[in-house]
Amino acid sequence: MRKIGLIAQIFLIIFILIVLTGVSSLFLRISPDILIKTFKSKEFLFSVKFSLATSSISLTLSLLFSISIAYVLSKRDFFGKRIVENIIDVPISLPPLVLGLSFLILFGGKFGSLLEQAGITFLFSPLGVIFAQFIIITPYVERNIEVVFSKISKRYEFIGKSMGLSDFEVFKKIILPLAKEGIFTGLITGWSRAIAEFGATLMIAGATRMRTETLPIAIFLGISSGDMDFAVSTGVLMVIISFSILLLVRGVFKRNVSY
Amino acid sequence: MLVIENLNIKFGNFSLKGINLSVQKGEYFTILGPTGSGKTLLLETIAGRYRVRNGKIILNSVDITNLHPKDRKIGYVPQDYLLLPHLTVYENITLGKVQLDEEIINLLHIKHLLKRHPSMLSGGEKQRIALARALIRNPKLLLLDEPTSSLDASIKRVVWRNLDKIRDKLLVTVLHVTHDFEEALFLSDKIAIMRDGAIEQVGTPTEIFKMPKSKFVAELTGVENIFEGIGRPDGKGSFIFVDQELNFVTYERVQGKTYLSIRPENVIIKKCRENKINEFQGRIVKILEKGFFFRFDIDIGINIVSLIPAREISVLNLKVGDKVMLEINPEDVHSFAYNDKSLDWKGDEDDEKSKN
Repeated sequence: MRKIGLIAQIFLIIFILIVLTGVSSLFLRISPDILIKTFKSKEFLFSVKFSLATSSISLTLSLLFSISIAYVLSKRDFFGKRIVENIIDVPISLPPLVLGLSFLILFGGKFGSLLEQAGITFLFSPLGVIFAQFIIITPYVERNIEVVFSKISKRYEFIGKSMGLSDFEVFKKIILPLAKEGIFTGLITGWSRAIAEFGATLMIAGATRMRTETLPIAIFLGISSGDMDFAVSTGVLMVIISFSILLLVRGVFKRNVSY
Repeated sequence: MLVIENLNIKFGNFSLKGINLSVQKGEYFTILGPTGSGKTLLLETIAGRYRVRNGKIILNSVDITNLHPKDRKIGYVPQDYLLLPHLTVYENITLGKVQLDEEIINLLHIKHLLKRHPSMLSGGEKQRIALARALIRNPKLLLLDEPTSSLDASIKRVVWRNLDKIRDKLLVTVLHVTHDFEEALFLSDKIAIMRDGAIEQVGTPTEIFKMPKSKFVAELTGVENIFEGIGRPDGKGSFIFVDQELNFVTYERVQGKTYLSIRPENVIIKKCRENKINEFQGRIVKILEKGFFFRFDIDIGINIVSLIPAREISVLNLKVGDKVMLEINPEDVHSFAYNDKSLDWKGDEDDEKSKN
């Protein structure tokens, strides 16, 4: 048993070294001067603001859908529930590029024309970025909320009703407050995925400088045009964001309780 | 007040079968049954947790069978209290947009607990809060699900007195379920015995105590002396032969195979024969001290149990091996229909299921 423990520890150390060397190479590649210069550039500021705006909108939409879907899946049993669950998981199981490609074909066809006639354009537009983020993050947000909803005893709902609450009041005053930590974790996970979304965004919204340029797209454009300083600086910022999110989620999970 | 007509409901492999009950206004009605008999399922069905397709529940002449729980005017205290952990005691009580009622708060002594969260309360305090929460909406009917099952024995009696006080002061009709016969006896105006999802017997505590209708009821109410016998009517009463040597006289008319039951507290121990009816000679096999009582196992050809108040023991000065005489008043020899079923204490998976 001691030998197995030792071998496992060696694997652990090797993996930590791989992660740390990879991430630190980003920080070692760039000087503080270049970092500050990039952070002040118009293009960088656009990509930060654009990422924040699109991820906030996609997250809000996703939250609305996720809470509703999670409520149905955690509280109701119905014929074909497993199939519905599998369909919701499709964006998780498919590579984002393939998912993006499928919507590129959908929005590039007759359905897309109909939407365009109604003034809605997904392809190569900021709306496409929001849609790509929304479709990718919703299964993650939903799964987090569904887990916490299903942990809440149905008897709490019943006791609320017996105290004179309507079904909506039970949801608002009992289920949502009891699920708040799961919802928060879902939001953080969803936001980190939205900020980092690349494959589906590239397929649906394209990589247009100062138009559909999210942070990952900015890195892609930087490397494509040979501007490594810009790409690395953006990468450094994303590493900082990712670590902050990771710490935040860990903090929430530590306090997580089930009722 | 509350009328339940032919209520049938299926829950997994368990079902309530043809429940008929009538609870009068102001009555303290207890449903007594072992774990697994469907007591919680019945209570939660009355409170509106389950949809009823077969049967009727009528409260104050209003059919509430499938009314939303919020419209039933029923207060419900679950066995595990179900206080909402994210709310303070005050918020828990006033959740349904009601004002605090000083009378209830003072009656239950919970004023000092109002700002606390449920995690900071003891079992007894949680129980009082759950009661206050159910009473504050001025319900027409109060449902209590095993309110003392998770409390220490010493607190149980305090709770019984509180429940009695609440009933007297607030004049509320109570439907209480329990597996504790002593609790049912202390609190109830009427008791219904429940078994396997059906009502076995309904009566006043005295009726249930003295005249159990079945072996199941007799065992549930603490009768230890239950014997099989053959009844033979004679004059106004009957003889019940347990075997050829041993027969008991009863004032009930019994014909053929039967069960007879004698409450242990009705088995009198004495030193000398007095040539009375139902006198038996026996030998003490075992003596157990049980607080205010001593429990004697006496061999009279069959093993019969007697409970004697502790203060009477010193007079008799009894010990194991002593020969004694037993006397049983024919009024205390009760018979009921012969069947082979007895009290089954198997775990109540269905009650547990319904709590999830």
